[in-house]
Amino acid sequence: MKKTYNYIALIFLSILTSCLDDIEPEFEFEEQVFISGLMTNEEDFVSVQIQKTVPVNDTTFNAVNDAQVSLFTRDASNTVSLVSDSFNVANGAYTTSEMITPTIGNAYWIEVMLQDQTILKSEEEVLRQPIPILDMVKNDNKVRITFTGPIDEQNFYLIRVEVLKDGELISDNIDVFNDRIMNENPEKFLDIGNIKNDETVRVSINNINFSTFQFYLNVFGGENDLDFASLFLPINIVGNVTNITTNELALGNFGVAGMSTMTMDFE
Amino acid sequence: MKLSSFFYLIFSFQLAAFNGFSQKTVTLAEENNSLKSIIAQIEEQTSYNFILNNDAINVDENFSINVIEKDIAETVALLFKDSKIAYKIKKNYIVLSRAKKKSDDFTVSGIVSDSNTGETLLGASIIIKNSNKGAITNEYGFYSITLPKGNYLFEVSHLGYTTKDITVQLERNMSIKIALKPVSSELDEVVVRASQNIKSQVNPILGGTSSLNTSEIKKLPSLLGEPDITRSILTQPGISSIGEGTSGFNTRGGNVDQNLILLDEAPLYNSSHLFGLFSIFNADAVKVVNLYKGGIPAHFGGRASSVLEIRQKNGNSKRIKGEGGLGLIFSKFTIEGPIKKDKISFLASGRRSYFDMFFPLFGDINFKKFHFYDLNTKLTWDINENNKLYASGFFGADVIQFREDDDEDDPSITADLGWTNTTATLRWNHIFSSKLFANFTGIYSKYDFALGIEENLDEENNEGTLDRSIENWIFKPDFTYYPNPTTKMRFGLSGNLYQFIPKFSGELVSQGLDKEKALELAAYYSIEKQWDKFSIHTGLRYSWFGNFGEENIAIYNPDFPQTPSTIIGFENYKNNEVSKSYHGLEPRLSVKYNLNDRKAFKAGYNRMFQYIHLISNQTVVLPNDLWKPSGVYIPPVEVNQFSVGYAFDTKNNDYNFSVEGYYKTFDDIVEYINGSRSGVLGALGAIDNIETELVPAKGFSYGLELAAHKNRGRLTGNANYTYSVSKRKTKSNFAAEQINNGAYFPSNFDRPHIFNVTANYKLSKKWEVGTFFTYQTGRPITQPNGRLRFNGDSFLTYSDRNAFRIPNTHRADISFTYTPTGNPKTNWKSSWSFGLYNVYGNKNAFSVNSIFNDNVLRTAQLSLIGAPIPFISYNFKF
Repeated sequence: MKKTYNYIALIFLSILTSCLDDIEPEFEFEEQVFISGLMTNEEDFVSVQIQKTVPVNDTTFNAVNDAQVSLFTRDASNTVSLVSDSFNVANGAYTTSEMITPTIGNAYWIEVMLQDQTILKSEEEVLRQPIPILDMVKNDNKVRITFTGPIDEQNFYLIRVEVLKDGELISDNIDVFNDRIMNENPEKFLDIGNIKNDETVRVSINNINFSTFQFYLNVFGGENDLDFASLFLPINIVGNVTNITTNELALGNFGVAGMSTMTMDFE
Repeated sequence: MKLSSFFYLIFSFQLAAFNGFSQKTVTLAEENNSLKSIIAQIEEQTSYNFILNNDAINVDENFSINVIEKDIAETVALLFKDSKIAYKIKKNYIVLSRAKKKSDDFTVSGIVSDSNTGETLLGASIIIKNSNKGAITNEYGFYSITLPKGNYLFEVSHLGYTTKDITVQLERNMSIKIALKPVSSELDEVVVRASQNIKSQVNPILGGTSSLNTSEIKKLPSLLGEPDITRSILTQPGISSIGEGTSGFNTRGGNVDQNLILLDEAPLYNSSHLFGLFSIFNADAVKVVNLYKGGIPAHFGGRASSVLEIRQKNGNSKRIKGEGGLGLIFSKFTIEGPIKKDKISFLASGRRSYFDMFFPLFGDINFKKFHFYDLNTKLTWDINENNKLYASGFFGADVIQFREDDDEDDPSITADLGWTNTTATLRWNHIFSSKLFANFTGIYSKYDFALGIEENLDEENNEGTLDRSIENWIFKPDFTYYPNPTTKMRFGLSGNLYQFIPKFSGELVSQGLDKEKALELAAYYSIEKQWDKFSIHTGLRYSWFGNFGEENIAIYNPDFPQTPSTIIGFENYKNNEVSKSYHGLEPRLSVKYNLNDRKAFKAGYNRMFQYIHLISNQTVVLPNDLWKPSGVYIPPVEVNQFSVGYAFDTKNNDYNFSVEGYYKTFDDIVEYINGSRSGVLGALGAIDNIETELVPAKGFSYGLELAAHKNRGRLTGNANYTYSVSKRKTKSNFAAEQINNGAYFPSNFDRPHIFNVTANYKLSKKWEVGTFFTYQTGRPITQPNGRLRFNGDSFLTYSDRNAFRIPNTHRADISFTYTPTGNPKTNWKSSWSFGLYNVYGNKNAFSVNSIFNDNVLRTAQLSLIGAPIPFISYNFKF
C-alpha cells in the first residue's frame, strides 16, 4: 500500500525539474538514550538494549553499561511483582541472569534507572496469545502462509520471514501488519513471492500491542529515498518508553508478544 | 447626537396682550432673515408660541416672507413652503419639525457595464459630485442610490475605463443603465496616464483585501508563459507557500485548507493542475479575482483564513469575440459572443496541454499519459430589467498514466491517476425594487480523485481502484438592501450539503473509510454605513453544522490516548441520524476613519469557523489528500483575527501605500502524531478511526504587511514586505501524543520575512517587459540531531519539530511582450511573450533530508524548480 502511495509522490516529484544536491551540513547534536527489547511468551532470557545516541556523522556505537534495569509484571488480580532486576550487561545488552517464563494475559514492563538517576519506563503491555500458523503452501514461486487471528478486536502483527538455502540465511524481512491492511476474516493469508525450490522458509508471527506496532511502524516508516523524504515529516523512533522524571516520551520501545513460528522446506 | 438635542427648546417670549384677546394676523417684510428672527416677530405680533427641536430645525437658516395682515396659518404655510420644515398648529402653539422625506426621496438604480462587451462591471463607483456620497456596484454590476428629489451630477468610474459624468433629474424612481468605455489599449500614453491598476486601500472599509484583474495577472512573468492566478496570489503580502511549484497557498499563518476558493461561487478543493505547477483557472475566462484575508464579509463562511473569490466573464453581449494562445506545452482558446444581442450571451474557454507528446524524445520515460485540460463555460440571459439569469460551469481534469517495468524485486506496475473538478452554478438576479437586489444561487461542485493500479505478475495480475469524491449541493438566497446612499444591508441564508464518497475495489487497496454526509447551514446579516469620515462594515453569521450517519463511531477509554487498542466500543448512527453537530456565531467588524480623502486608518475583527478539514501529514498538498468533515472527534477549527491598518495615497493616486498588522488565534486545528500514517495510508482510505492519527492543536500567528504601488508612468508595479510568525501547539491530555512536549513550534509554512517586487516597464508602443523578484526566509524543518543502531541498521534521531530552517530562498522571473501593430481593417490583434522563470537558476531549497544508504549517511538539498525555465507563447484576439 505504501508503495502505491509512493507512486503518487514519485509522479509529483518527476514532473518538477527537481534536483538533489549532496551537502554536508553540521547538524546540532543532542544526546538521548534509546532502549529496545521484545519479550515473547517463550521461556527464554529477556534482553534489553540500551545505548546513547551519537552525532550524526559518528559511526561508533555508544553503549550504556551502567544502568539499572528491572522487569515487572501485573497479573490478572492486579498484583504487581518484580520479575527480575538481575541482568548481565555486555556492550549495552542487558540479559536476565535467569530464564523467564512469561504468563499469557499478564502485563509486563521495564524500568531503567540511568547513572544520572533519570528513570525511563516502558508502557505496561499485555502478553497476548500466540497466533496459530495453520499452514504454508507453495504454488509456483509463491508461498502462502495461513494463520488465524481473533476477529472481535483489531490485531497487530510483527511478522518476520527468513529464507534459507542450505542452512544459510539468504533473506530476512520484518514488517508489521494489522487486520485492516490484511483482511478482517479470522483466517488470514500472507503471500511471499520469489521462493525457489530447495529453499527453506521460516516465519515468526508476533501478536503485539498497538504501541509496539506503532514503534515498528516508526522504525520502518523512515524514508530511504531522498526524494520521498522531502514530502514527509521525519519520524522519531519513539514507542512506549517514557521518561518519568520529565513525563516526556523517550526514544525506544519494550514490547511483549505472543509468538508462533513455522519452518518449512520446499523441495 | 448631542445630549442637548434631547431637549426641546421652547421660545417663551412673553406675549404682549394689547387688547385682552389673541392676535391672529401677521405683517412681515423679511428678506433672507434668520428663522429665529422671524419666529420672534411672529410671537411678538400674535399670541402663538413656537415649539421646536433645535437639533432638527436650524433656526439660523434664512427665510424670506412678505405678508400684510395675513392670517397666522396662511403665514406659516407660506413661510415653510418648499422648505424642509413641517409644522402643526395646536391651540396657541406652532410645533415645528423636520419634514418627512419619504415623499421627496427617490431611488436611482441600474447596472454599470462595459460599452464594448456588455460585461457587467463590479466595483464601479458612482459618486454624487460635490458630495462624498455614492455607491459601488455589487458583484453583478448593480447599484442603488436613494436621494431627495433634485438635480444631480453622477461621476461614474471604474479602473481601466473612461470616467463618465451623468446628469440626473431625480423626480421619480429611475433605472439607469450606465455603459463605460474602456480606455483604448492603442493609446499607450493614455493607458499610462489613466492607470488601470490603482491599488488604493483608502476607500475600501474592509482591511486586508486585494483585487486583481486579468490584465494585471497576464503582465506577471509566469511559469511556461501561462498566466497563473494562484502564482499572482502568492505575490500579495501576507501570502506564503511551502515551496515553489506546490499546490495552494497559506494566508496569514493559516493552513492551505483554510482558504475558501470560489469559482462563480462554487467551492473548489484542488485548484491546481499537475500537482501545483499550474492553476486550474484560465485567466482568459476570468473577470476578476478578489482575495479577502483580513476583513471577510458575513456572507462568506466555511473556511477559517481567507476567501479567494473568482468570477468568470459573462461573455460579450455585443459581438463575437475570440482570443487564444499557442505555447510550447499547451494551447488555449476562448470564444464569447451574443446569442441574441444584448440579451443572451455565452462564453466558452478551454485549455489542453500536450507536452506528453514530447516524452518519446527523452527516451525511455515512465509516463504514458500526462496531460490536463479544462473548460469554462457561461451563459448569461438578460431576461428583462429586473431579472437576469447566469448559468456557468467548469470542468478540469488531469490524466496521468505511469508504467514501471518489472525488475528483480518488483513486478511491473501500471498506475492510472487522475483528478477532476466539476462545478455548475445557476444564479438568478432579481430586482425586487430599486432598493432591494436579490440573488438566488444553486451550486453543484464535485472533486473526484481516481487511482487505478495493476501489478502484472507472471501468473496473475493484481488490480485495485480507488475513487474518492467530495460533492457539494449549495443553495443561497442573498439580498442586498440600499436604504440610502450611505447605508447598505446584506442578508441571506446558505445551505451546503456535503457528501464524501469513497469507492474501492480490487486487492491492492483496502476500504477503511465510509461514505460521509454533512450539512452546513448559515444565516447572515451585515450592514455597511458611511458617515463623513467614519465608516463601518459589520455583520454576524450564525452557522450550524451536522455530521450525519450512517456511521459506526468508536468509543475510546477516556483515560488513555485514542489508539486502536483503547477502543472500548462502538456507537452506531442510522442513516441521516445526526452523529455530531456544532454551531456558533461569527461576528465580523471592520471600521475605517478617513483623516482626509487620501489617508485612512482601519481596524477589524473576524471570527470564522471551519467545519471540514484536509487530513494529510505530508509537507505538500497532493490531489489524493483526504478531506474530512467535523465529527465526534474532530471539532471545527475556530479562528479569531484582529487587524489594524493605515492606507495612504499620493496625489492623483500616483502611488498607493498601505501597512497592516494582524494577530490571529487558531483553535482545534488538526496536527499529526509522530509517525502518523494519515499521509501514507489515510490518503488511500486504509485507516479506520483516523482520529487515532491526529492530535488537536491550537496556534497563533501575527504579522505586519507593508505594500507600495506605483500606478502611473512607463514603470508601474509594486513592492511588498511581510513580517510574520505562525506557530502551533498540541493540546492533548496525554504526554505521549504531544509534539515537542506541548511547546509551541513553527508551522511548516512559517516564513518570517517575505519580500516581493513586481515591475512592468513599457519600453515602447510594441515592447513591454515584466519582472518579478521574491526573497523569503527558508521554511522550518525538523533535522537530525543524532544517530543510533537498531537491529544492525543505523537510524537518525530528530530535533523538535520544525526547530531549524532550510536556507533562505530567492528567485527572479522576467518576461517580454511584443505587440505588433495590428491591421486596423480587422479586429485581429496578436502578441508574443517570451521570458525566463527563475532567471539565474537559483536552486532554492525545498527541503534538506538525510537518509542512510547501507548504513552510510547521505544528506541532500532538494530544489523543486532548480533551473531557468524558458517559455515562448503566441497570443491572439479577434
